[in-house]
Amino acid sequence: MISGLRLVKDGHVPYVTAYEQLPEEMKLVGQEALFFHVETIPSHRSVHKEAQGLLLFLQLPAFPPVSQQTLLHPAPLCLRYLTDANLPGNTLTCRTQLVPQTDQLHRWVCVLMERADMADESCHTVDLASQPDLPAYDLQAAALLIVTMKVLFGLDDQTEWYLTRLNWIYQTRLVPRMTQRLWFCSTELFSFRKWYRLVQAALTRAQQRRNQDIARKQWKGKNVFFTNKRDKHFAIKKRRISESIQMCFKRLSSQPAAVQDAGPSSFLFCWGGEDGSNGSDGPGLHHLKLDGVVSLNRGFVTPWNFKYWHPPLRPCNPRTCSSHYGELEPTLPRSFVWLLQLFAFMLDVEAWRLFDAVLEVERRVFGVKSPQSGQQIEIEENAGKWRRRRTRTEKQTRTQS
Amino acid sequence: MDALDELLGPPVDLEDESDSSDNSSRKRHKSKLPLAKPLCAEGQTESGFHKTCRTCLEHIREAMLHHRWQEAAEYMVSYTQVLEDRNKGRALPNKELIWRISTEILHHLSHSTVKDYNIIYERMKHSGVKHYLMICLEHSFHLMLHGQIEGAKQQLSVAESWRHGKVSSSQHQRHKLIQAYRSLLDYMIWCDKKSTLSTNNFVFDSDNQAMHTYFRHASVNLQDILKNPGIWDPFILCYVEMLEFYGDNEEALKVLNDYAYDNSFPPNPNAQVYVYQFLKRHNAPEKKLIKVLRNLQILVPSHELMLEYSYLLLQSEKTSDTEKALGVLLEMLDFACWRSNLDVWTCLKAVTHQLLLREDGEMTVCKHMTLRKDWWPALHFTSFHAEKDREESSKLLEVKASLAEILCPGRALKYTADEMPT
Repeated sequence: MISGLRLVKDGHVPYVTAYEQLPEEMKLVGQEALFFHVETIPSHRSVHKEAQGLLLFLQLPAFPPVSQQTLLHPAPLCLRYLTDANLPGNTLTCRTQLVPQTDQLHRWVCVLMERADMADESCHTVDLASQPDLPAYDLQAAALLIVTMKVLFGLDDQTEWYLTRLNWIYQTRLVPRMTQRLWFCSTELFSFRKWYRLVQAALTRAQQRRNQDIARKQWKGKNVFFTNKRDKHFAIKKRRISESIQMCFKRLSSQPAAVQDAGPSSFLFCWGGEDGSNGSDGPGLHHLKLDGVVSLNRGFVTPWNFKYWHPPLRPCNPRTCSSHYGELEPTLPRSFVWLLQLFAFMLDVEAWRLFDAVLEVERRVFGVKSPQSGQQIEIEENAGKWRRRRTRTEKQTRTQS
Repeated sequence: MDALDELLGPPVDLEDESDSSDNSSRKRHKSKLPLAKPLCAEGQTESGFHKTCRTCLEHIREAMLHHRWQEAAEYMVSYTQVLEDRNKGRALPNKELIWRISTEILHHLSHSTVKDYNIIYERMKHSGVKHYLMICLEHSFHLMLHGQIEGAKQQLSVAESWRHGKVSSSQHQRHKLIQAYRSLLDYMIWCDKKSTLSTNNFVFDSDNQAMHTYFRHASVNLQDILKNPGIWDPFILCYVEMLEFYGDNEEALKVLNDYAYDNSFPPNPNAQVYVYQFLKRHNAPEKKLIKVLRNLQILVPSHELMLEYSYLLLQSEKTSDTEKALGVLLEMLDFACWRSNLDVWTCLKAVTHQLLLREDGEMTVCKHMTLRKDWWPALHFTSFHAEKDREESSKLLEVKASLAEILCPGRALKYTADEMPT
């Protein structure tokens, strides 16, 4: 489903005009034929829900285990999203050895994954006995990425820009930073500002392209769809009128407006090469180092950012309440909202779903099963380790659902 | 979801597609498959197809508003699929959209040809019933504008003979319009023939015959049209011109009088003007002219013919007419458009002088000015007006100044013919 919906939307997988694939002998007649008349591509959410329903209804046996080599596992999936979003991550290393370099983002994602108990394959493999809920793999992976970015960059509208400025100062002066920090004098540092500018420009272009593709999408197949003889007569008449007017305008417009057929691809952006050349969206930043945001502290590589923010918790009835993103959004930092929107666009889901997934990951990281009434969580950090302190005495529970 | 809606939804209006005399209700064919409850009911949200059409239309609108006609044409290529929408409620508005947008884009594209227009018009005409007559009319206008009179006429003839089911009131009105414009086209062809006749030295009988045929066609239709209440100004002028050419002045006058004085017709000052112009052309007696202009004066006191009216009244022998002339002129000058007109003021001067020669002249003038003496000084006789009139014409200044005291006695007016101290 990860890029399945996108392939359907781009027309690489027959769905809208699937009836054209039926053999000649099979004739679609009667009102039931309308099942083949498609005018909407279902949303991510509805497909997920229906899949979940089918799973229970059909009582399917356990799915093959999702190990770290499978593409559905968060580790490789995060790497894919990193690459698509032009974030630093060394593909070769991660794929084969799973011992990425110390300065790559993917390593931090894996650390977080361990912390949230999400590295284990059993929590991703669907089994009606132990794990009946179908996980939304793409949402989980994107949420992990976002939380990692939050840890490293703060994403509170201040820290990330401050770090960028600091980097720039040190870079231009080529001065070694304070003791116990890593030495550098290369210009191969990842800069949040540079990345943001690049990706924002590409995102705007991609959004416009998507909007245009929606406007130009052709929903009617080559063969006219009809359910009975009378319907056929009117349908053919309408088709003739539509076609002749279309021909007229095709002649008048210099280029016929067709949906750009770039070939099926599971990646949304194309990074590498100069801006605009070979259809690329901009220079690739995958090789850059995160030295600007991490430091060596008592032998451990630590993020320089010590702060982490979380939206306020409140008591909720999970059965009646849906997402609170709509109310919370104006209070959230803009960088965070932008990052949510970026990944929401890449996954073609609504931003609130991604937000809920992020909250879920954070819950798993902090060891809280579900939002409970009146609970306050304070977070303290100490030299690369995370500690939890609660106001009420509670057993430490593993967040395995 | 749309498929299920179509299966289960209420029967929709099919008037556009089917014969309107078919009033039998459609039988609902029950589906044989058991329908499962939809797992994910997304409510009455827009379908992907409708979203595409809506987005495309927005792009087209943006492009048209910014005069990017090429871009609009490109989007139109993708928009035509909206005609195949199975939702019958949207069929009529969609057709109208396509028709109007296409013609608008064609107007502005430099390389559009008559052939393109013909394709659009023909296709959209036959796409449904409701718009047929309007599109025919527009098509013929377009051909007329491009000088293809015969083609336009042919379009209208076809439209005239077209009938579909019961004729609704709006269709009836359009039929009338089509009839009227067809007669207009007959008249234009007649005019063409007349001008060729007058240039040729030899007049063939057949040419005369042809001309007469067109005249007959046009007059029959126009007579029919003119029975209906309405504003038919261009058509009546054509008719009268044709009748005058053939010397049938009585009929022409009758037609004009009917048009002007029939109470069922909406009040139309132009009608009186046409009668007056006709009578003047045919040297009618002054009494008749005065009678026509009197009606016009009631309708439009500030009409330009009022000047002629006052001249006529001045020249007549009846004493009461002079007083009437005064009334007419004063009413004219109530309107700002005549304020600086020398002719009006000169005429007024002549009238007042004639009146003042009589005994009760002053009283008559007073009587007419009672209603006006409060606001006329501000309207005509301030020092500002004096300056302006001096710039425009010294004669005007003189005439007005002489009248100032007569019309507004006892008021200290700053309107004088003397130079103001600068």
